[in-house]
Amino acid sequence: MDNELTCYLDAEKIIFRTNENGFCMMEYADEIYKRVNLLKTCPQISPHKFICVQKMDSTEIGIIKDLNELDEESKIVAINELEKKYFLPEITKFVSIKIKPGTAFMDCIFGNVRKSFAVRDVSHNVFYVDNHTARINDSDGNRYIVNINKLNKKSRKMIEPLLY
Amino acid sequence: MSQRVNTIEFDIDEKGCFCNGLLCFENGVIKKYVNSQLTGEFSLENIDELCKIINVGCGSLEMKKKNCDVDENIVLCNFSMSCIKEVSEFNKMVNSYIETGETHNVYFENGRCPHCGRPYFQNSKECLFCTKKGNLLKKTFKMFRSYFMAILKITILLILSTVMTIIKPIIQGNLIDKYFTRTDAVSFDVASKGLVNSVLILVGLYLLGMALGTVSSILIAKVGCSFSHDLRCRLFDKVQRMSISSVAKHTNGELIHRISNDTENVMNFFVSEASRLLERFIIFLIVFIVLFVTSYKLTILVVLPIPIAIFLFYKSSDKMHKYNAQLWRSGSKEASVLNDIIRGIRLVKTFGNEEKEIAKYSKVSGSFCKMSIINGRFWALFVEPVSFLIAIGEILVLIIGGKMVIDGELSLGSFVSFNLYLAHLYSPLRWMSGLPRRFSNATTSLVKIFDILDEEIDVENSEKSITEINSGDIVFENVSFGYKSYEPVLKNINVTMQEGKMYGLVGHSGAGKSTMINLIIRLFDPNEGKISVGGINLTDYDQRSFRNKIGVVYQDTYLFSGTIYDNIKYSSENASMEEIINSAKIANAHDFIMRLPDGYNTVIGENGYRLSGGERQRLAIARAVLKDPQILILDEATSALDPETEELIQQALGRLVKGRTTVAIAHRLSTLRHADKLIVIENGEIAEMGTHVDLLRERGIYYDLVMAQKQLTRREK
Repeated sequence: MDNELTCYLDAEKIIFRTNENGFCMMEYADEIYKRVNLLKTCPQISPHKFICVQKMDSTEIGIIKDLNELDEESKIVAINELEKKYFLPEITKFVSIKIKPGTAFMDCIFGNVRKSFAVRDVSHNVFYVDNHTARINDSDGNRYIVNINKLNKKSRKMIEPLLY
Repeated sequence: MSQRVNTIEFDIDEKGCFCNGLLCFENGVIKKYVNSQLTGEFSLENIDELCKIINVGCGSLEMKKKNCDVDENIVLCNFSMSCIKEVSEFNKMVNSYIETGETHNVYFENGRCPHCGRPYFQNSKECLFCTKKGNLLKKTFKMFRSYFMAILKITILLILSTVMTIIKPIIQGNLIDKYFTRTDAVSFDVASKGLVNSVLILVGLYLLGMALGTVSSILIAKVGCSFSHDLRCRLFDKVQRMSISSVAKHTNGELIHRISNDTENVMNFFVSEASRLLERFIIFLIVFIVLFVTSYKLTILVVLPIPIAIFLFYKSSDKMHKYNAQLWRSGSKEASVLNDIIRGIRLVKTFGNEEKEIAKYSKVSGSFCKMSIINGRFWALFVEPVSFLIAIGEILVLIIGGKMVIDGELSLGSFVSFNLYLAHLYSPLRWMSGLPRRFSNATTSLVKIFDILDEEIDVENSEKSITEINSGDIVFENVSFGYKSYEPVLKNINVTMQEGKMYGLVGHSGAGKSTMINLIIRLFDPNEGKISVGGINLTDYDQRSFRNKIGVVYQDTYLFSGTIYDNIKYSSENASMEEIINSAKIANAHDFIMRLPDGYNTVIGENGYRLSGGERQRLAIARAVLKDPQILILDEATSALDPETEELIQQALGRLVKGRTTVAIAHRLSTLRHADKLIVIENGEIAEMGTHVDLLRERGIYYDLVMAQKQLTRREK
């Protein structure tokens, strides 16, 4: 199967920078794109690989196979842009998880911010994405990530029964 | 509760971290505060519009400057999905100001809990945080109050049956004290007579107890079956009435699991266990009083460990629920995967993926098995020690009671009957020690059942419920709609479709064509504006009667397992054989049906897998014809068919559309060129409208689509 339909961008020719309004711009092969949209093709399995670059009207410019192949500054800009687009705050500690029939109420710490939220239908909304990372989707449509290995014993004891 | 949207909250700062932010709009100026500090003031002069950008789990609100590119936009704020509804309303309000120069105080149903301010979950009207725990049981009792009398009857029978058993130790104790340890005052004859009488009374009690037990068992079976049938029907009824989007939230396997397994769990608990609960409790009370009267000292020893056991159950109730919920989840997943694989068995075989699917099923089944073992182990490790704790009293009674008999404080008969009663006291206690598990099982299932029963029906019948349609005219007036209200799929649609004419909906994939059709069928209601049919608002029609006047032919038509006759007749229960044959002829289906050995009685298998795609499609058309609909919807009815079959179906459709308002979607634009009017949809808006010739002349989007398709056809040739 050929790859003619997909334009893979040459990482060496890409320059990502942030413009004065905070938007990501790209220079590629003598062409300047004033504002581009970056999208992850596989956000869960490989968040920094196969990144799709689009113009603001959603037409695809091409795909970057691996952000690690970019120069350091471009890589930082791209990663920052992706983090802005894919808001996935990491839960660092569970203060409490209360179970009411049908809903789990979680009081959590995100770095230095404490936040509480409800998770409906736990079976669909609390799950492992890989061996040590879990994802939680709350009832508002927010997504959170938890690195199980980084949690303290108490937090782990709280969340583990909800994962299977 | 409604709320003004001149000031809204946002919660993500420029660095992508959580913050407490506010946007305030007044007199054409937006002020931005982050953590109570004013961080910016933005005038709306030279601003074209506010745009809301939705990303993944977050979004941003941007100001687009007049005559500038999007790279010069100003980011007003970033927000998480918790703020999306308020931000959307704020966006609309400011844009309205930019357009009209007037500030309209916009209020909107904020869908938030009046107590804690948190948003309601999806269609629910109940706050997840503020729902009281007792609500679940209250709702259950309310739902099944019609069974209370039957359950009460069962309970009375069970109590009477148990009373028969309770009396026995008194007679046995009496027998020992009066006749077995007889003194000289009691003669041998009197003792023998007393023994015979006691035995006769005991046999009588056994027989009476057995009769009462048998009647109560029959009643339990009867009430139990009616109860679970009723619950299954309620649940199925609700699933049938839910909107397509609500049903789509659950997998088929999950819904089947809820309707079959969960109703059975609830029935088992509420019919068998609830009636026994009262019975056991009353026995416990009676036995406790008898024991207390016999020896209050020994009774205190017996009941001493009970509060500790209750405390332990209470402390571990969260854990119990977690384990049960895990077990439920793995069971539901196993059912879901099984349903998925069995439904797609043909595809599995086509791709030769049997081994892969076996491994997949084995994995979920293994997980279910593992969870069952974990659950079983937890209960074994928990219940047995608690049962032992309760039974400690038994040992204490043996030691202290024995000493009381030796000291002459207690007669041997009283001691024996005390010990026999002890068994009656421990039996309900042991039964009760398993109760939390059964209760936890039942509540897990109840939650899943109420998840569905409590879901709001988003498309409901109005009070008017008009059953007749005056004419097939369809009018869209300023209609906007989004599956999520903040992401509009259709924007401000205004169009009139006249009765008896054919309208073709054209546009790129995702433009909003199928959404328009879904709105006409009233699978959803518009967020703004109204749709009327025959001059009456669609919401004023009785849904069932209205849909009876609509015929729909989809691309992926669904046929039920059964005969061809059953499938055609599905749309009109009272249709005669003549009408069925006639509709099959109109649909060009009669000839192929007659070639089958069993004709109209041919069993077609699940989803008609014994028929070709074209044959299935023609049956679907026959089904639509039989209904004699006033409005006909054709959603890609002829795509993916070979030209010969398409020709047959086009002929059938040609006959079908006569005299009806027809709305058709087709990717093959040639099939729509005879439409009275073509409506071109682009990005949720009507971009062009006119006949095939008019639109070609205009050289707009339709022209481009036709040309692109022509090129494709030429290339294929």
